[in-house]
Amino acid sequence: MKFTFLYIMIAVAQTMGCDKTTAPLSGFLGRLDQIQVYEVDQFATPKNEQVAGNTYLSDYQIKKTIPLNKTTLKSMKKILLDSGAFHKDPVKNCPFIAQYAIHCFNDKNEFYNVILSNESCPKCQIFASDSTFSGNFDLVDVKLQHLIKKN
Amino acid sequence: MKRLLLLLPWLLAFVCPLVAQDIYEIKFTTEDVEYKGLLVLFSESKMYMRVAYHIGDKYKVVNVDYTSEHVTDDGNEFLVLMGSNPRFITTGDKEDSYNPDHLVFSDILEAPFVIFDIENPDNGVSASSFKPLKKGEVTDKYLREFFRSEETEYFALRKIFGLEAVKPVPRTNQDVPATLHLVVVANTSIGDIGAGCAVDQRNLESEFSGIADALGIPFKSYQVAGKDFIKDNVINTLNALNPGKNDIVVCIYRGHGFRWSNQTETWPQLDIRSSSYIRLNESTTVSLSEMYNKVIAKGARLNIVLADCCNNDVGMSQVTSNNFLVMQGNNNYDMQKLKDLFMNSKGNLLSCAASPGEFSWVSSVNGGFFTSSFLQALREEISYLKNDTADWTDITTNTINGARAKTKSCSNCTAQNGKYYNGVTKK
Repeated sequence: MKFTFLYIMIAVAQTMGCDKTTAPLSGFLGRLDQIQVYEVDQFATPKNEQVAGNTYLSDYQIKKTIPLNKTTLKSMKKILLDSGAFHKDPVKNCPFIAQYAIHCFNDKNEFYNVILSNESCPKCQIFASDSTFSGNFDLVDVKLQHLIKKN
Repeated sequence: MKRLLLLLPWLLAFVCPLVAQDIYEIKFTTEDVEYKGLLVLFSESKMYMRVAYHIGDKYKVVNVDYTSEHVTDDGNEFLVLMGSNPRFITTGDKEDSYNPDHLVFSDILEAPFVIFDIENPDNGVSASSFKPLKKGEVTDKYLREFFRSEETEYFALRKIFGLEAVKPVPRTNQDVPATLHLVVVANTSIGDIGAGCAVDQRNLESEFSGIADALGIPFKSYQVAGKDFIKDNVINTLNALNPGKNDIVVCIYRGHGFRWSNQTETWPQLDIRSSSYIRLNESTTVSLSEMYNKVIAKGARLNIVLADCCNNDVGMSQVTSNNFLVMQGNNNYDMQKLKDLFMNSKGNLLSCAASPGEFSWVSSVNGGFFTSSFLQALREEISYLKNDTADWTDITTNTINGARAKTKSCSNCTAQNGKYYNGVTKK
């Protein structure tokens, strides 16, 4: 179904003040030149229960580092920049169980941490130095998990 | 950005969670003909519109049935109310024909676009106005523009708009005092679905307190939500519940749900954690069947236990096993139907939002698809506009069908097919 008239009306309405801003995520992620992928604990650990011998990323205990090749990392960044891969509303009523973490960062203390769920309930939690990018999201699929698992 | 009609955010959540019996007026003009429509919405799949217009000196009214459809086109999303089955209400129009209008809603248009031919969507006009109709604004003369005086819909709308005194349903000597107990366990603090659960919590409280008011019976509310959302509070609340033999207990869970990988039982596990910092284990979960058994063991006359949550494999096995098993109430209730449902019924009803392996869905604005469908179905069942007898089977099947229809209207969602057991009979 093609709504040509509607598109014209929508375009008119937009020029009358309905600004659609595009989140500058690509610019932000573009500045983060380093990336690490980890397997993490299923649940976050409160700060007062974290122990010195362990390493945590956004309160999730890192269990092991997963080395990824350049091609996989490139594919991963492409998915992270795809706004269609994440959505905030509506979402699934299933519990978030963490499995992996993607840590994008640079030497200026900027970071973008994506805590990925296991495949049972595709979701992610994003913690970023620029809080406008942080939040809880549903994942449309489990492509990110598959990329990590396949590696 | 200029705020749109309050309706539109609802429509454009693409779950169309319009409250049952919502009634709107739409006006549009083609060439020299002005059309005025009265749109009555029950649910996503059940609506009708009366369209009144003049052709020359002849006044005509036509009835068009509607269902909703979610359409994505070039990345833009639309909600389309598809018209069908036009029939003339005014007499002497047998030879006339009327192409049903289709209404297209978009999030940045103030009024819908009216399409006359679905095969040619550009053949249409923008509606000149679209507004909800409220009690006090509608007169008998207004309704008669759309309805014949003997039509049941006309009488129903007169009652809805307060134009007709509603006869009180007499109390009989056999009426035993009853109390309506509402238990809502809602995960309102969790990051991903907390906002939607809070919407449901408010709507449920408002709806059931309104029902108790209408029935003239006491209302007791038990809420486990926010920071109190922990298993101990759920169990303590259920243990403390002490209904009388003629009482009604409605117990509703809104939150995350799942099934253990080694689980065989149909009903889901309820995740009683308010943050990702709490581990999922036996001390943070309650099974729906345990909740149901606790409620029915209290011996109330009527028990309604619902869970709006997922029922998918969580990817974890249960480690040990103990033997644990906007919206406002509008009070347009048909009192006889309300009494049939709540006062003249007995038994137990259990229902959940998804079958084993399935997700259920929630919108942060409109709440859970299952809960909002339940409230729609309940409103529809106790509406003056409903012609047959009210019963819980209709409510349950309409709830499940309504939630499924909402997932179909959502491009990211997978289907949810609720399950139910209905042991409710007439008293």
